[in-house]
Amino acid sequence: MAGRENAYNAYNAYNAYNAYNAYNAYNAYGSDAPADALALLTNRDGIVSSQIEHITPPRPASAGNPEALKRLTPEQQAAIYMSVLAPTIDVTSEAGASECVSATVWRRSGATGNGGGLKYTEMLRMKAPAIDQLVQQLNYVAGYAQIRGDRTAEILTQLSLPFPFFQSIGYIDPARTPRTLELLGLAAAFAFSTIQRLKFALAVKRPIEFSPQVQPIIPTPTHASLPSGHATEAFLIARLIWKLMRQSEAPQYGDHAYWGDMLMRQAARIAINRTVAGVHFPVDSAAGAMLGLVLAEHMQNVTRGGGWESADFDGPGFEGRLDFDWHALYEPATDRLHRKVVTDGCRWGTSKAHKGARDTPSDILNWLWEAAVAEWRDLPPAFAVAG
Amino acid sequence: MAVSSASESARAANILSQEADFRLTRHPHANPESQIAKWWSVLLQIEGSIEAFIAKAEAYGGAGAGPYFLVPVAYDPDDRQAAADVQPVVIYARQDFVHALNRRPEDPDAANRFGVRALTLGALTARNVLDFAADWPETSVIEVADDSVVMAVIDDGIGIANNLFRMGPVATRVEFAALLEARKGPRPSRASAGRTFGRDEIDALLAACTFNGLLDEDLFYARTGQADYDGEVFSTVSLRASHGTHVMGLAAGYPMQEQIENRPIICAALPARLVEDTTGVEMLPALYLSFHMLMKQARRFRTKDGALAPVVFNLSFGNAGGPHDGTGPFATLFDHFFAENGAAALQPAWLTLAAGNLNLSRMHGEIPEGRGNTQLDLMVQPDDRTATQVQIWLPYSADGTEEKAEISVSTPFGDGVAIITAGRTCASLLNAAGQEIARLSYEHVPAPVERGRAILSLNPTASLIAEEPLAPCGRWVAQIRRRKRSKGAMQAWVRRDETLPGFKPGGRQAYFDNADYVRFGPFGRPLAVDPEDTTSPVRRAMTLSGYACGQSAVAVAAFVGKERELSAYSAAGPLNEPASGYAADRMGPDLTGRGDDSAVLRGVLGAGSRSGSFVRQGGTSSAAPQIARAAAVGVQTPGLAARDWAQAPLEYGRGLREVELRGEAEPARAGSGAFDLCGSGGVFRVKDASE
Repeated sequence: MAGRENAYNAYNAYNAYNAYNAYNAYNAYGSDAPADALALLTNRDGIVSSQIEHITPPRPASAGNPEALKRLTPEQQAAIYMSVLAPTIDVTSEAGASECVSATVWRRSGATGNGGGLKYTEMLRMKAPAIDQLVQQLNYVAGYAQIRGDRTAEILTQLSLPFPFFQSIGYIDPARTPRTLELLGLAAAFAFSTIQRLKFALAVKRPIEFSPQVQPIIPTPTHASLPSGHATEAFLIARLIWKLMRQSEAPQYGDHAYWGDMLMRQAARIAINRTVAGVHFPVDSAAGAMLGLVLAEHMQNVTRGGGWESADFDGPGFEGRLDFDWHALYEPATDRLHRKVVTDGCRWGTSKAHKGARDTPSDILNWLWEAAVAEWRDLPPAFAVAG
Repeated sequence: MAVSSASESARAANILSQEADFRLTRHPHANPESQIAKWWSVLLQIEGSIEAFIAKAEAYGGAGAGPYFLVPVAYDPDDRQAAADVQPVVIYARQDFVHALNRRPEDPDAANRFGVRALTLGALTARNVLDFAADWPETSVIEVADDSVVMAVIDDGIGIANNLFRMGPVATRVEFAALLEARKGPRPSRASAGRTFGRDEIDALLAACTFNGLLDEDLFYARTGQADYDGEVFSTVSLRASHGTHVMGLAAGYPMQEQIENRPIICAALPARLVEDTTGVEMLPALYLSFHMLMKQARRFRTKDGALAPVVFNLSFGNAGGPHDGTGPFATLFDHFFAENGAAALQPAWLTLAAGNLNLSRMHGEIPEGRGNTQLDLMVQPDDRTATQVQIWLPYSADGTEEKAEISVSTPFGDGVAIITAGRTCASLLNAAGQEIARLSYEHVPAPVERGRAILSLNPTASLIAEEPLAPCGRWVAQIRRRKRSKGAMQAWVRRDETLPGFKPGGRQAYFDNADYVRFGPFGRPLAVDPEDTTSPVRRAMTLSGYACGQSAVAVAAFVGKERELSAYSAAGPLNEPASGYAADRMGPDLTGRGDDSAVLRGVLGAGSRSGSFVRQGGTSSAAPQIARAAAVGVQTPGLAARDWAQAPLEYGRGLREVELRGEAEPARAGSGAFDLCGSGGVFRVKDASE
């Protein structure tokens, strides 16, 4: 076999653009260096002159105007977004002694603060698979290990958030789509705590604990195996980008579900690469994909209103012989979860669509979402501006 | 280390195939309890009909419950009734029964109680691949246009869903695919080993795996059974680059949009890494079975007036072993199917073969006539997890008299065994615990070969199993003592058993390491031709693949496009002469195709495993299918023989252009010259070579 090209290395270049670096762009405004302060001090002495007697006062600030968000640093924005988004869910654990372990992600709605009247609705119930299923799933971990040589570059690049892989499908760049990156970064951060709560609650063991022959090519994270965080993030990001594309009404995205399909294929590849690496079972990817897809719909709901989806992940129903196949979960053409989640005759989940809630979506998150959608819209043609 | 005596000859007399016996008695297969759990592909030469063989085999009884042999449904009722003095048949058999089949009768000239005259052990085969209740294969006529040529590819890791083999998103050009590597499929099944797919089945699967206009190829290959991570099956279609996809793309790949209807494809994917077996893999049974299946399928293609469409086969596999005179079992395979029964007259059938890439591999040694003592130094590598085999072929003997030479072999530590090349004999080298670690055997191979053959078989030099007896690595020495008056040279080849890095089972290639072999020229470049005055027994000459020595197939060498020179690795003739009357008449490869784009860009671009991806893969493996692509034009000339076409392909239609090689291109390496595909530029822009 002839030498392999290092084409994949080129993708590493995209790392430079990862979402968090988007914030660096804002640092162009001066710095906190002491030298600057000294210079400004002597500088003022030089030009300040005597105090002006009559000044025109500014108007009062526009309190609560989401437009003001874009005047904040990304860190400050992120803190605000997260403080709005984080309380919209809760996670509980229903750990039984020997029975099936389960956990639930609750959707929290109703007034916040002193308003009271909080309402909790089940959004995602997740049952852990049994040990003997995982023993069978270990065959997949061993089988997929055979393609590690092919996937190592991707696996290592995907140790951090897989933005480069979505940037290779969607036109995403800190200069072009800063709000989109903020939205996706928010989604990943929001999902992270949910993922960790679920992993902790379900406490599914990692492949490395089953056999000394797994020998993963990356360190096995210390947190539990199911749901796969990579699968969750990748499917969450994929569905959000697909929603932005659809809502942009740009003709190329319109009804062309091949965009959505490609985003899902990418998410699935990222998820499967973790099995190739030796740190996840296929069932972890299945659970993660469901969680990510549900969270994407939830984020849209709390930012834009409208419907939302709940789902049920039945770990014991995911027979050990099954591999992960995302098509069982979701249809990009309709942007809907399948009502019955079935692979090869095995039902391992269900989903349900819910009518739009009466909640007023958060102005703050709504502003971010709409600003992100706007980044995907076509600009009006030049003659329209002139006319 | 202890050495057994030559009284082992008694044992040798009881065994049909020493190669098979050596493998079956190695540590991984030696446990008596595992005998009825292991299944093998086996090529038999049987007397009489297949039906008669089945009757004898059923009388065996065997140990334990359940079936112990399986004659594939690829042999249909007509095949089974066909009478023959001797005929090849591929079966799958349980290991205990293989041992029984490998017993030699009292009378050395007769077949054994099962009617078996010769046995070739193929590959360990997973039981879940075998289907004991399969239906007969599909035989209905497929009507094709008058200018159609069936392209038949036998390889491993064939990505049949690649868009180069499709006419539309859910419309394949593959009329038949046999996947010997897949676990048996759902009912109805038409394959006894693996799975077979017809065009309608492939189209239905394509449709089922296409979402929003995009084919999910991972899912497709999971459904065909090729990407079966849960099972024991691993196909290279799971990787970015796969040998068979690349080869089939070069032979028969056309952009989907071009709607090429006159190059229907039939293919067989060999069981490349079905089961990791450290005792080696012999592809011959799988090749015989594949050819048999594809031959039958090729006969389904008829034009409107009922004529059979011509077929071009390509096989980009090679083998270092064999007598190298065209009488070996692969060389005769193609003639068995096409020449002997006169089928070629009904349906023109050509075969292109890779000449092999072993020119510089130091796997061939020559023991000349007239030299009393020749020494071959065999470097056996450390951490070689697979068995090593060296074949030494004696000169052809017209009157059947045997040359009595003495072959002695010693380990890097000086222990040794010796045999005299007469009768059937074998000697074993034992370790201190009394376990066999090497075997030296000899027998006379009857017509059509008519040569004596000695085989040195060594255990692996490394194993993760503590109990496995190992052969020492390092410099083994073979001494061959001949009488001064002996006529004709003896030829030795090391069998290829290398595994690509990162793949199991971890074979490392042994090679001849005589000090007088000159590897490099004055400017440090590898010498591609033996120096004229060389005295070294280690030779580049006669490295042509053992498969490519036959009479009727076109053997294809490789050249480097930009430098316009033969690829240094491209194997060399001549054939092993003198030889029996059945021997082939050839100097070496028939012609040369592009194996590399340039010295820097090794290999040629071709189909990657997934649609729309391209990868580089080189060697004569890549040159042969390009010639096959062009041969599809030539084969339409009535009455033209493949090798006559290869002498002057430009006379019979377009599709190729001649490349003038720089410097001296020996006919024994380049054949009739170098030819590049032409048309509108690159391989995949060739709209239709017949235009």
